[in-house]
Amino acid sequence: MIGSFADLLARAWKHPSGRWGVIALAALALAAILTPALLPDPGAMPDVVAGPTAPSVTHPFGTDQLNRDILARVVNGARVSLSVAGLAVLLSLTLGTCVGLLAGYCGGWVDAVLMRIVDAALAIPRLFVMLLLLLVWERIPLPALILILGTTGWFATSRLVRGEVLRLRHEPFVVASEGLGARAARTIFRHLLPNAAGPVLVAATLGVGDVILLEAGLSFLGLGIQPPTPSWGGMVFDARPLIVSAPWTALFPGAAIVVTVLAVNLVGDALQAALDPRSA
Amino acid sequence: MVPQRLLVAALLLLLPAGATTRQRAPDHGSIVIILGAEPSTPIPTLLGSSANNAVSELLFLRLARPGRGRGTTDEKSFEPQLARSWTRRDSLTLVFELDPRARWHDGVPVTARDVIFSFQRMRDTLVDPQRALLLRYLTTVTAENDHRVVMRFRRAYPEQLYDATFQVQLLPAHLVDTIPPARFAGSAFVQHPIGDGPYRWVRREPGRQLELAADPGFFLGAPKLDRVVFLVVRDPEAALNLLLDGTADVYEGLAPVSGPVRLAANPAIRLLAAPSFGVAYVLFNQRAYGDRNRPHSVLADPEVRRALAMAIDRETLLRSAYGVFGRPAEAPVAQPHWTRGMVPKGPPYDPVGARALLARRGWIDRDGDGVLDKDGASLALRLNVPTSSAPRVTLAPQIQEQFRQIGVRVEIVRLDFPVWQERRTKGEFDLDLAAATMDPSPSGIVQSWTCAGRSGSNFAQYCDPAVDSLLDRAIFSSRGGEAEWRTAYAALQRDVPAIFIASPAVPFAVHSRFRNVTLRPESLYADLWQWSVDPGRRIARDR
Amino acid sequence: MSHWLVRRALQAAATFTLAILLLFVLMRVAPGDPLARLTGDRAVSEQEVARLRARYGLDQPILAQLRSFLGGVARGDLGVSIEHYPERVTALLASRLPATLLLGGAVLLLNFTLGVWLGVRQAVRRGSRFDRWMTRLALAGYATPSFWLGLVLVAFVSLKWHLLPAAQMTDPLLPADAAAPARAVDVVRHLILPVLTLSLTSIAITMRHQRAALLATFRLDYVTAARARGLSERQVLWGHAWRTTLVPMLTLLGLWLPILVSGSVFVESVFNWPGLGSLAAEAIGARDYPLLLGTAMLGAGAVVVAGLLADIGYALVDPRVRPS
Repeated sequence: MIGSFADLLARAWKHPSGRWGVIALAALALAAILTPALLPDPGAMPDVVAGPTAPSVTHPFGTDQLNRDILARVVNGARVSLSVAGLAVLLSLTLGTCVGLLAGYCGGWVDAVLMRIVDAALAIPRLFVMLLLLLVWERIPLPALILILGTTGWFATSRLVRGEVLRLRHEPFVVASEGLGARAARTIFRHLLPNAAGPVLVAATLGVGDVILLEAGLSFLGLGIQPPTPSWGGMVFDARPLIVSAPWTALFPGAAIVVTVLAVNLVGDALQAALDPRSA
Repeated sequence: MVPQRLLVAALLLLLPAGATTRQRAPDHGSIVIILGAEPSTPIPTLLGSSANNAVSELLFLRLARPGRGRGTTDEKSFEPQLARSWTRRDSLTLVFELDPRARWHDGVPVTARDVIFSFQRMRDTLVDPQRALLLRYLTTVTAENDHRVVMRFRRAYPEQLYDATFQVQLLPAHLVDTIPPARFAGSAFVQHPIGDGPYRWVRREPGRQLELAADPGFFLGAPKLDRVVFLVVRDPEAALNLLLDGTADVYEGLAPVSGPVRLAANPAIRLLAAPSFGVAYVLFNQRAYGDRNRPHSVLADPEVRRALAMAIDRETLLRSAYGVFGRPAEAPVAQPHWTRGMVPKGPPYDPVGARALLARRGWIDRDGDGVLDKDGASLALRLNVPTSSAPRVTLAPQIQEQFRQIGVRVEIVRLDFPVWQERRTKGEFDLDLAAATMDPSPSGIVQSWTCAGRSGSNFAQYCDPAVDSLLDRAIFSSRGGEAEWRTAYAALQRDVPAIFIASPAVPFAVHSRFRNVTLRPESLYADLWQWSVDPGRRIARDR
Repeated sequence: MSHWLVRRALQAAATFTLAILLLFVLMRVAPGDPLARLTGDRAVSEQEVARLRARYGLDQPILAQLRSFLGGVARGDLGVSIEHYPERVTALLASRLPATLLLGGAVLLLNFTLGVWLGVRQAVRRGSRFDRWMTRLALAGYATPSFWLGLVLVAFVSLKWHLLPAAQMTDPLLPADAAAPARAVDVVRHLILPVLTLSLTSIAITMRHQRAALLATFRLDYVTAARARGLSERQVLWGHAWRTTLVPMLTLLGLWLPILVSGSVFVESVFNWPGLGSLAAEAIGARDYPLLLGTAMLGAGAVVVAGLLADIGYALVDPRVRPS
């Protein structure tokens, strides 16, 4: 079964958009990891008098209202955005998979109760919940932000996993394995989980895009990542007064969001296509 | 696929709709004012907010009002409103002659009955306990005839006229006296109020706008602007956009430093510094964090408070947080207060001296971590800041840095406004970055800075009976009171109950076509009826 | 079928009730004094505060508050707003609903016209340059944060080029007795920017789903049969193939609605649109519990109902899904 998973990744890589997405993401991640050492410190030398300067050789993306290098800030923002999104999705994936497996495998009233809760949670607009939770925190440390993004994002995943489990439970190989007296844990980890991994992976990739957008939106509202840590949403927020006179201040952080979410979605699409060739 | 004609029609729809405004007389104009909150009950006696007050000032008048900048104790400087004149029978009795021309908007004359009713309603502790407290020295309000009212006080003091006039806006007795106070807020009168001011009620669309129209028969002179629309815009960004795209004419919520820069996008907008009774300060909690039964382990020591005040470089703070609108404050006294000249200078900026003073009180950096300590505890304090206030959010890290210079660690606690408010009422703070709008009378100081205020808005539980009695002496002084105020302020300053930072002006953005724009600190729009539009600069909606 | 329907409806009711309970708990664990805005920086005596607390029932224990709230919900009464005292929450919701319906309706309309039309064109010209570019555009549209788009639109279209108003639903000085066409033009001019900002994401989703759904039907036998019968390509496309995709497309409503509800909170605030979204934002900021619960309930209710309708739609076309 693991073999088919590797196969899936290989097929996704062959998909043209998937390859572009992976390359773009890898480039972003690499830039985020390596370049902060090479670029000027984004927090350094705030200088109000010099004001924003247009893109030039020394500052390829220009500088912002405090004359800070926008490229350096965008790259640092990538670091924060990618790690926040990655960790949050990992958390919601784990939670969602556990709940989904539990509901799907146990069935009966466990399933009914869990799914009602999930439905109810899905019905409440996520933004509402996040706004309320974020207002509670006094300084919103990064771990808290990740926790909130993660714990409010697992509902859809759990439904997906449950669906997969219900589908797989009646497949001959699962029935056979159970018939041979396999313990529940073995059935779950050897048969159900690996086979449900594909759709979950697709959902996770798309989830990363959603979380990046959500985090940017919250930072834009001043509730996400707190200054002076650079965040793309916060940078767009700061650029509001300059958007007409110095468009690059809002353009580059905005473009960074678009490119990242786009890349993540391309990868998700490719995975989806590899999983279900008919949908392409 | 899309029919071409439809497309053309759709494009035509996009053209600005300007042909809908009606023809008006030459001297007229319209003004659109942005309010940051909903004026849902712009009626005296109901809970006031600045949005409600902005509207109610135009609808409901008082007997008289303090003259501009002349003080709340100078009886000669008061300007007549509903009362044409007033005289003193003795030190305890004031007699008012009502202006016989004054009319409610339904045509009924304003009479002594309205005055008696309004004072009685206002002094009902169930209606407005705070107001009742302010009017505690007033004993009786009686009528000698339809237009003569006599007010008697139980005590002689310089602000009798101020209390008798400024504290109470009149309500129409013939329309309101049948409505019990408990049901007033939900009554039809509140839905469509009838006032006696320069503007009449037209309509309110909840959540959107409120419209007033000039009362051409207003007894003090016909208003020059015939239409006033208050727009409810909660999002500061949307408010600014509406100002910049020409939809709105007036906005008073601009951030003092970043706001003016953005106005460059619309050169027709003028920026004024409106006088304000606001004072910003860092409040020292006298009691332990969240526990009013124990004194604060650090801040209960006035010498420590003084040292902290000496660590603050006020000039730098003012410039960065308030820009050109910053004015220093040395006590709970604002720029427009007539007593502001009687405030002595507070502790000077002297970080070296501050450190030395702290060392004398036992606070020394023994473990070399850069933070002072005493008996094993380091000098660390929490500073509560409401995120709703842009200047205070800017101030916090600078205060933190200035305290760090003398070895005091400050942790900034940024709080959503309702949480911030909850913390201060519970006393859950060490330092509180506060801003209060003071009463126009300097006597308003008693609400937050005396022992009596401890059950109310004296959140720090600051209490010094000596200061109380000096303030009392100043408020009830029979001669001017200047020397008494000077002594009282000096005594308050010696206690350093707070670090007073600024008495900032309000950045007031207004379209430059308006002339004669005068702003009063107690209510920015009180003179609106005298504003006019420059005839050469009318725009579509003024015609 | 009717048995299934009853069970599904009961499920939806249970979901909704649970959502209300979750909301109530969530709201009451959040700190913050709902009276803070009312009293502001004004000096208020303890007596007055106690009176206000009693007025809103905030002096009761939480469980008693929950009981009286649920009792009110059963009677169709959501209590009195704190921020807008003495207005009732139901009246406030009713007064703000039309603006939100207008905005949401316009977004959905744009979806079902532009989004569907583009998706169909793409499917028909599958693999063409048009198809490839539209796919890329849809992806880019999905990846663009709406707050960024709104910002750029207002900065250029309104503030720089003065083509459309920057915010509001109506011109504040439009006379109350203005003719209907003038009012309609006014509202449409104000509607364009918020609708564009809010619909970009959902149009992108619609396009992709419409394209995929239509491509799937092209492979079906009866489409081939229709072609064989000599019907015109247009008749085959719209009369047969597209009609089959209609119900699955309608069920997308369940997907859009949460996006629309969350998005409207942001977009309505930025454009000062007098709808439920800005009301919710205001209620959160002021900790106006009754109002917040009311708006959130309406949002949750809409999502639950949309999910129910989507399921019924599915069941109508594909009876196999019913038992699940």
